[in-house]
Amino acid sequence: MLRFLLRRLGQTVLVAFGVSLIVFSLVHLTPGDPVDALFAGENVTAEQKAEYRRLIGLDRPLTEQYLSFAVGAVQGDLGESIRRGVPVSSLILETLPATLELTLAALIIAVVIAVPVAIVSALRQGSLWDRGGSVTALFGISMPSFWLGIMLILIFSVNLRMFPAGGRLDVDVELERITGLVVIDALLQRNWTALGSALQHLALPAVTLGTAIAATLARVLRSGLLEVKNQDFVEALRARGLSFPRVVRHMLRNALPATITVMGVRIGVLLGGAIVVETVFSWPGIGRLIVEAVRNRDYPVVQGSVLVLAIVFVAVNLATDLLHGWLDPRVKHGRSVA
Amino acid sequence: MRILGRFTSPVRWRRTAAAAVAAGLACALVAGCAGGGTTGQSGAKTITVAQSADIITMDPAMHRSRINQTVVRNVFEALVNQDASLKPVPELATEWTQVDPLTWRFKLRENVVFHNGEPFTAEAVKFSIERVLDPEQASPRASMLSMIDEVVVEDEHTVVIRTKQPSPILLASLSVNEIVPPKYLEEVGDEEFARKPVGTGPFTFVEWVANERVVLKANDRYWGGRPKVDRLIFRPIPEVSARIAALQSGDVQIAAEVPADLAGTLSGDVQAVSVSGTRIFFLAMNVTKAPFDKPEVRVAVNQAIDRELLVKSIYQDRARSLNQPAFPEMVGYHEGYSGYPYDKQAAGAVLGSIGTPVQIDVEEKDKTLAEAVAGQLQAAGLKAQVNVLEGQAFLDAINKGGSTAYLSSWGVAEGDADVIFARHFWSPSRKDGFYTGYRDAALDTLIEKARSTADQAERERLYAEAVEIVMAAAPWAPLLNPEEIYGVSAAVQGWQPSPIGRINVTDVTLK
Repeated sequence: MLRFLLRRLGQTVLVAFGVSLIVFSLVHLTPGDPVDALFAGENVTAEQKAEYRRLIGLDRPLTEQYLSFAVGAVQGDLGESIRRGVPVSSLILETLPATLELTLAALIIAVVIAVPVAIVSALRQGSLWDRGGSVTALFGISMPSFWLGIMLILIFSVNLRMFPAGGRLDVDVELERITGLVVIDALLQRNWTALGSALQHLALPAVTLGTAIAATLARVLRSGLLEVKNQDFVEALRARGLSFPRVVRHMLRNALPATITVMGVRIGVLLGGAIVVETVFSWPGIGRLIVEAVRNRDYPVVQGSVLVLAIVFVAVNLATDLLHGWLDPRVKHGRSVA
Repeated sequence: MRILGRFTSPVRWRRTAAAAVAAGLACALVAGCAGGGTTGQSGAKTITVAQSADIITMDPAMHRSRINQTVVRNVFEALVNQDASLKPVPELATEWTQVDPLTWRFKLRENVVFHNGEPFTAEAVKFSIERVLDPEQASPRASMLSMIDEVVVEDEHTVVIRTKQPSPILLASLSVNEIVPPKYLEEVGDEEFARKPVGTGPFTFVEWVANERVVLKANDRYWGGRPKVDRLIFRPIPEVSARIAALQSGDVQIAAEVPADLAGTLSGDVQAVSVSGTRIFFLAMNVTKAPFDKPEVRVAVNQAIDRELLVKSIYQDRARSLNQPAFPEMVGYHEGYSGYPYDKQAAGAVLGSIGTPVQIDVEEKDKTLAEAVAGQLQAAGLKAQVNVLEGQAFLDAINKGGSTAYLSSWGVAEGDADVIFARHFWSPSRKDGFYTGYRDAALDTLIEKARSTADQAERERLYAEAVEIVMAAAPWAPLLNPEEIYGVSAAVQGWQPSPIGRINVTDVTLK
């Protein structure tokens, strides 16, 4: 187990190094630079721009710039935003919790929708329920998030005025930020007004993102359950007269490891989807931070936040592997088992 | 399967489904009851404004963005302001005189205090301008005030500004550079100042939650009288459809940057309100590249474009067509110039013989206009194609002379022809912006003369001449000047949009 963890940690370091190198090269290879972006359309001479570049260190050789970025990153210093003049780490700390909150809420919604659908579909394979579920899942997968998001805004914000069209909290609501996840913060402080407001703001974006995940999850889990359904142990459990929910629980436990592995790999898709949903719902998460930084060629912000996301991705995959081992004891970490 | 079937009987599932629907409805009802409005839980009258981006800083000296300025300008003020026709009007200076071509004397408003109680004096003016110009400060606004030689305090309420050469745009430049409190700034330093900004404006700063909102509250001691609303909030909503949805759902009362094609969809509780803008759209032709190296081709392009049709079809009449690189409110606009009227036949005679396709580079945001222009050029026989480039790639292409032709726009909030001519048609500026590559020695002399003359009548005459020279050579096909469109809730009464994007709500009431 320890060897497994150490090996994975080593891999994480390699991945982080690779990602930092690729992101650094990509942002510097793209045309334009932060200073041009800062003064776009303004009456600023080439000399003034050059002076500004020198001031923020953009005139140094690329290798030197990369080294100072890498050395800083290792020490936890991701540099300063060129546009905003504040540390990149503080920008990430402000926005990452918003993305986490949105993604977690979406995952909960996805599980609530997908698990029952998958169970019914699998148990009554070929039935109307199953076909209906499959068609709905297909819809969920095919529906682009930005379209679904705009439709939900049109129906529930503009016409019915039931949910706000964007943001995280009503402006009247005061809430001290502890974890940065407003729902959790409101719960911790027993601030029910804030909790209501936070849930209201969270509803539409979480449903938008959750629908896409639910569709994938339902399909993966359904095929997992189908595989398990005809295995002998299910027959044996039934023969022993176990109640229906308990039989299903055993089936789920056997279908889950594969599902979790597949979903873990898809976390990247999830984070990508979050970027779109954050834009549609003005959700102040890390996705919007990156989009804005790319547009302004704010090199340190792009480098820093992509690096952090890459580490999150690796960490989630590590967690799913560990979870897999826990759910399926046949998988022994550290031994040569696929 | 038979056994399992019993457990999944329709009755059981129907019951579960009904429970789920009921729970969903309950949630929705709770949410519905808690819906917000213009008067929040605290009873404060609030106006929320949606812009397309968040601010960068609350320090008025440390940004170069109009969206930022819109917010900052409610907390801070400048010596002068600009009215709807872009003329300078008093703000913190009550009057001013130009003593000689290089010297301006400003009388300051008395009994004005910053939000922390610090009095506003001539020292604050000197400090604020010198702070922007200080190389150590590295203010992105320094180039706007680079014409200033020195600021002299004559007495507590009189300040003299000397310029290096006569500067026609000094007042316009001063109107976008706000005054900060020297004592407070020296006491707390730049970082703390940006966190807790203190100005003389109609609103005081409450909080900025990055990417979520900036909250301001009415300044009870404002010299112009306390604003009639209690709070002013700015929210960044980048996606235009989301911005309009927030307006229609009542989350915000004013939505900025509404595109003309969506303005028509606003009705009922929300309306589109517009004002003539300060942005000039143009098609630029690279005079060093075929086929635009021939002046007759550039003239023919000017004739091939039906500007009125563009105004009508793309801007739903919320724009003005331009026959020169200036709009009527600008100093230097040539009243008597007739331009190139639409003449497809004459254009076709020249353009029809050009066999090679021509690429028009454009940014995504201007694609629709570029496609319409390209369509008109195609109709006249020129094989024009639109090539969409990402923002920075576009800048790279036009700055280094890689573009054959490009469609873009330039903002002239200063209201002076100098901004266009010195940047786009004056050869010294070619070294960091190749643009069309057009140079003309006689025009250069003319522009230099117009830049260094204080006499406005003389400047008008010089620019009239410059307009004729530029249009005869035709490196540009000037296109149009769109209106600034805002979506405004019917609850907001007495609000006027400004051509330079200011959001002034001091006299606004809420129904």
